[in-house]
Amino acid sequence: MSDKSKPSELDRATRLVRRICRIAGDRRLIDRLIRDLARHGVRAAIRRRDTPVLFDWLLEEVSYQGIGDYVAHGYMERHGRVRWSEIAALIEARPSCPKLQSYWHFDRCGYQKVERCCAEPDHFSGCPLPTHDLRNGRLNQAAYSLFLFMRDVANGDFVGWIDQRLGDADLASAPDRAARLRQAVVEPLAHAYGVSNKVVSMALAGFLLAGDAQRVLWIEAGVVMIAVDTLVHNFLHRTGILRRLGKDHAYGTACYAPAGCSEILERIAGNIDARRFNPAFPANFPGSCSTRSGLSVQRAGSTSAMGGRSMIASAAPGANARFFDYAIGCR
Amino acid sequence: MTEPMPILVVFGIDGEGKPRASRFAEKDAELATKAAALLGFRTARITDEAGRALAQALPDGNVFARGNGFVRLVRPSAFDKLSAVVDGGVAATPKKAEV
Repeated sequence: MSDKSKPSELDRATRLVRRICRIAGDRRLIDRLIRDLARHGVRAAIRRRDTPVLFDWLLEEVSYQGIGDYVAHGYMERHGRVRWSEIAALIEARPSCPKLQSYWHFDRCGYQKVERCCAEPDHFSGCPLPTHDLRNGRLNQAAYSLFLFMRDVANGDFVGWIDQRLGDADLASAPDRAARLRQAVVEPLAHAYGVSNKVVSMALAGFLLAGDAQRVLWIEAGVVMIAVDTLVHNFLHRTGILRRLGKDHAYGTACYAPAGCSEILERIAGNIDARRFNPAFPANFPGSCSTRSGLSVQRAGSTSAMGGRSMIASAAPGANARFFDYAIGCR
Repeated sequence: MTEPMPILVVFGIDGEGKPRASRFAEKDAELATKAAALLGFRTARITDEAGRALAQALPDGNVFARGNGFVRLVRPSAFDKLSAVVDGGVAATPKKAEV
């Protein structure tokens, strides 16, 4: 943050978040992430460099955006999930739509589930994209865009791609090292259709942090993943942190801009030694290692409640949503 | 004296007949070349001094952007100059590569 004129306001925000974490912190956050990723087969898939399994997992994470987790989960249980193997087989059959040729061709597809139309009506009847019964047409497009990203951009090796991206961004002395590591994987993936910066950050936080203990750069990148959703933004707004720091802004892309919510959280976290909550945590732990990452058990909560947890976990790992709600309700 | 690094440019006429051209960083060269071939754009590595000045004035491309975001629109005059540098003014749209 360029504005360093209000250290006392930042100290005040730091004290508030530290207090929340001290009272309600989940001291076994990383252990729980590891256990849940293992249960979903993600850790084994990373070891095997099994892109199809990782695609299936990441697409499910993406499917939770925009609606309550309970509703999204229920729809997938009733209507099924789309898998890498299904899309691969359908694409292999070379459908006529020119937009399905490659990741870079897949733009402005325009599929709408209810209206049953798209931007290439001449190819609609033979298009495989609408054949999956997902919750809305945007998710069908997200599934194909993410598949084509992993096939064409990552060359079918998602683990290798992340290794390479983080390796290229690994500049030991760079002052913006944390931001570089974060952007190295978030920025490219967020170009896939329907995959927002927030969703990627939330999904990858746990994935990188708890996916493979041997990959040091992954852990470092997972730690600094910050996801900002409406509740995170509203926490900073309603507690007066944004106003006192002179950083009032509307929720949206400004949250990730310089001096936005993301940067404020990073600074707050920089003032909190997370090892006081658990000696196994890194000292500086701004990552959005939210309970949402890959955990079906936790999905009973709403998207915004998870966002609240995410924010608290961003600032220092592990408070629970109830205390978060208490904190913003007190004001 | 060390030779200056060649600048990778991707250029061509898009499906709507509009000229597009962008430069790419060397770290993105492999992916940019792959995407360019799939989309039917041309690639060139510019080494000469006049060409480098022209290439450096081009907008940055983005290998992770889909559709028109990959290579940016440029003015016809800039496109013609780039074509002239690369191959003497011929700016035909090449055959698209097979996926």
